[in-house]
Amino acid sequence: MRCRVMALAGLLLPLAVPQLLAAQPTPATAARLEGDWVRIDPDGAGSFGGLGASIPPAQLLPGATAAAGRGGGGRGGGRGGRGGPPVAESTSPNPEGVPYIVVAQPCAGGLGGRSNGALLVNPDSGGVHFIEHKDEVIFAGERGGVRHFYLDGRQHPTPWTPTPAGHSIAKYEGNALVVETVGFTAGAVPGGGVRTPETRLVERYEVSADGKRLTITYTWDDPKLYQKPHVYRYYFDRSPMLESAGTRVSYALEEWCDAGDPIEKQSIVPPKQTIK
Amino acid sequence: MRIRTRVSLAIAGFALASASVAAHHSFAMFEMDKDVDYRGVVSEWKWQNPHVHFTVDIKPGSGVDPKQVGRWDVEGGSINIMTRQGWTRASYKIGDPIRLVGHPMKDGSKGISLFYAIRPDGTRLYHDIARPKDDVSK
Repeated sequence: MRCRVMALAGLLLPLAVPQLLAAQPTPATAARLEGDWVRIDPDGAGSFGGLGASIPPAQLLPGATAAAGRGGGGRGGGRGGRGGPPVAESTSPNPEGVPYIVVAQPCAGGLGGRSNGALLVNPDSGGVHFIEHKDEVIFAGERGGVRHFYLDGRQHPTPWTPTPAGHSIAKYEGNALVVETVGFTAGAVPGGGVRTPETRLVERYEVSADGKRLTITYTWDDPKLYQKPHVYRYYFDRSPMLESAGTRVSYALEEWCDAGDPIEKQSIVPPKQTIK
Repeated sequence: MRIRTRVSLAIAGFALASASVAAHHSFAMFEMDKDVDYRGVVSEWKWQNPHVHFTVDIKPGSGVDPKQVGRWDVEGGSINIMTRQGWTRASYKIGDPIRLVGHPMKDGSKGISLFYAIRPDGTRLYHDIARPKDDVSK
């Protein structure tokens, strides 16, 4: 009889454990991380171009840029945003009514393509969203793209085909969600850094005691690329709630990235001059 | 709510809301480190994605830089981004006087990357999260 009970218990235990785990309270800090956040500019950068200026320059080893297969790191520049081939710079003003075509490849990115070196955090107020579960944290960017931070104890898989977002495992350390990611595609990271599939990124997500401010600390480390770990921080406020169709939401919910829209590619259109 | 449902909702929401356009394109064609004060009258108002645009007429007059005289295309961010900064589709309308600070075009054409507008009461409506040194909150 005892054997039968033990056997039954053995059969039921694997079914019961997930239910027990599901009943575990989510850490208080984790609960506060869930939701919408918008990056802020606590340094007073003065313009979008300056938003990366407070990032300490990466201390690279000789040959690191070549090892990552990049001609430069992370700051971007020139026309032709969103991953498209650069558009030739003109040096004279466009004629009246002729728009400046500044995006070569609207809505570019594709699967995971937007989880690029900035890892869903853009140098503007594009929102980010977190969903928390006992097994993983979902990190979604307003421009598209999703990252998964696995909390279920799994290890990084081997072999692994590198992706723009890499493979992330996470754990809570006190009030911080600590995420370790490897397996990136080679490329650039903010602050002039670079990465390869072997580069290790540790992110610490820390929410202030009042739940209103999120700080993400990025630490890129790779002894083959960096003289010392490349560390910088981004700061976020909770996304303000807005009125939309009579409902309080944190997004205006307007369509943006429509590759079929001709104005998607353009910027300034020199107006007809009627005032002399 | 099941996590799959929540993730699906989040992804759908972000697909709908994908409006992060301040960096939709490079700003290399603007002098981003140069802040210029412009005062004129709104002559067109386009509350639209991917960028809000409006035109401003600056007429000749006392104290007006002759180089500023003319009609300017002012580029803002996406509707989402500007809404978060306090803008609405009714912030300005055609015929309203406007004072703004922006980054001019490098090639001298009459285009401006909006930094912020200054309301009659002195408050600022920012294009996006970037702030000048005199308005930061650590």
